Amino acid sequence: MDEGRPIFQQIAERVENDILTGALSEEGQVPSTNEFALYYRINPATAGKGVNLLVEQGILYKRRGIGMFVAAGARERISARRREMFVLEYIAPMLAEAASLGITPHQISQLIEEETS
Amino acid sequence: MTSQNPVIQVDDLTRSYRDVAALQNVSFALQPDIICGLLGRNGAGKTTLMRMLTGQDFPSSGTARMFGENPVENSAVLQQICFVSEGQRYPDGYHARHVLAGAPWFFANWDAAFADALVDKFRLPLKRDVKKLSRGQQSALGVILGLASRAPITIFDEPYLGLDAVARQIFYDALLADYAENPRTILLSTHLIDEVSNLLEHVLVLDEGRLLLDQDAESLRGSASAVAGRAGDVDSFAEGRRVLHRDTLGGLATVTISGRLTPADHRAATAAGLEIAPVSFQQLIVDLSTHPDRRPAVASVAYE
Amino acid sequence: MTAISTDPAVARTGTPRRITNVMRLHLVNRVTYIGIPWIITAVALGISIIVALLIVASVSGPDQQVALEGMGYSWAVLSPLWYLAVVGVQAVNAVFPFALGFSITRREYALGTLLTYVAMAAFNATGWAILTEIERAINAAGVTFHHFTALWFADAGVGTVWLSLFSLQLLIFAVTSAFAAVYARWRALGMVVLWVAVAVVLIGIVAFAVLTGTAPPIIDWLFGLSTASLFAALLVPAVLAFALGWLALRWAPLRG
Repeated sequence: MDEGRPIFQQIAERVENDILTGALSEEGQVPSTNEFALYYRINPATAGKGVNLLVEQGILYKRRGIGMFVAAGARERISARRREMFVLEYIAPMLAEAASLGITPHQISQLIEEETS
Repeated sequence: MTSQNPVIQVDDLTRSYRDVAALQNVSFALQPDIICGLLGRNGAGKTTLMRMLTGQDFPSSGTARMFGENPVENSAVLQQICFVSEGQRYPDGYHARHVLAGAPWFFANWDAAFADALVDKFRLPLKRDVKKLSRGQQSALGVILGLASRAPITIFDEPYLGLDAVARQIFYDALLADYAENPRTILLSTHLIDEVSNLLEHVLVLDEGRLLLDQDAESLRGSASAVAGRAGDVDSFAEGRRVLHRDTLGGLATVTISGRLTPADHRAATAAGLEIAPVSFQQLIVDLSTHPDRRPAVASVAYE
Repeated sequence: MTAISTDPAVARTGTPRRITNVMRLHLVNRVTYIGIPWIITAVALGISIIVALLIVASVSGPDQQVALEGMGYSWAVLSPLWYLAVVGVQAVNAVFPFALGFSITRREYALGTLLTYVAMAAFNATGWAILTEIERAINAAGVTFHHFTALWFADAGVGTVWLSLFSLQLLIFAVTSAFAAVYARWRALGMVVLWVAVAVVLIGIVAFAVLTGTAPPIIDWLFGLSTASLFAALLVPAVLAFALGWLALRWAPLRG
């Protein structure tokens, strides 16, 4: 666990990661709140908060008396949002840093192509 | 989160020993079925507070209410509480098996099978005088009592003294697993903050007899940041913010800033060439407890 | 999930039950209350027998009978009682904080401890009284030996023997517990005050006797009592000491 951030967010991210990698499949059951709590050694209420965050976002849904499942289309929704975040978290700061170093967007494209070729 | 009646309610609680105030005007309320950490340095008043919650000691002024009632000589209330005291004394000649045999006579929810399983896990010798057990084995006995009693309010006062890292992990895991199955209110005093911080839902911090912090654990995480860079840049960034701690090294400075930073703050800091790092739970508590502005103005406050 | 009731109005275990459970807690380790007093009894009896055999072996003629009769002044029967002082102190120093750790109220602890004292005093007194009767039967059969038939026992009925042993034990339990309780509450200062108070009472009695040339009425009254009444009267200071102990413990904070 990362010390500097609320744990429930980190739990939600880990579940999302597992959905993205396919470790948790759509319509598949996810572990219970208590199982998360014991596995990650965190407070069950905190684990529950993380899971509920995903329920609110429609990534997971509850089946009364059975448990928690991954919603259909969850994977696509997560990757769409992550793509938006990618722009915010990586592209925008990169452009800002590049501007301060006098690197033009065109030069950045060239650098990227060199790196990936 | 539904708001229920608090299980523990403390109002303006003060305990003085002659002219030494062990606890001063402490007030807080705890909701049921949470794991709450009671943190603070040695002599901060943690044990004193716990003794007053359990009717073992008496307030000089103010009140402590458990389930809405005064715990002093209140049998109906006290039998819902198990207080595992760090310095628990045992009569001469009592073996661990005697102690465990007596527990179900006073704790209605006692789970003997669970106690036996814990005895095995901790490898506690049952047929030896408790006074001849090692510090860690005595702690293990206390931990077993606290967990197997399944008391609606269970209070652990520094329950791990003398326990090695493996045994402490056994305790944390057993606590978490049993709490998940049987939710109840758990108050845990400790100064091994990093080890337990992930288990806590709520945090109380005492310092020199005063309550410094009464906060949801999750809201505390990430609520402070360490900003490092050239002293002048750091100080201008810190201006107008609550600084908990400041370190300097030559022309460089690191300050711990209270309050969550916005993305705009992050961009401003990066633009100014400053580095921002999260502050760990433990570091935050340490910074709070040593923050000069937090020192009570009354100079007569002393450690126990 | 197992529901754990958090309603204190529902007392899980009635107070009378908890009081008897305090007695069980005292007796969970039977060595302290039952084992050691009877080990001391057995050892003391063994010594008495050895002494009697030595007398028989080394003294002859009429002197032998005198010497054997002299064993009646040995007070040997009282030897286990001194150990009970240890029990009285331990009950407050160790069992009291232990009991509070088990969420027992001070009142439940005090009543349960009183019950334990009464039960143990009765148990021991019954045992020793039975042995006294056996010894009397042996004496009646013509063998002179005194271990249990000491002091006032010679002429007293079995009831008086029992009562005297019972009262003495309770007095020892109550007084030693009271001292330990006063220490627990007021520490060294309490001890000083208590000892001074005891000394003042004793000096007062002596001063009264010296100044007036007569014993105080209470002493006269005590000497006028029958053996049984005298020992029954010992229960009064026992009860007073127990009350003092309770008053001290009622507001005694538990310290580290």
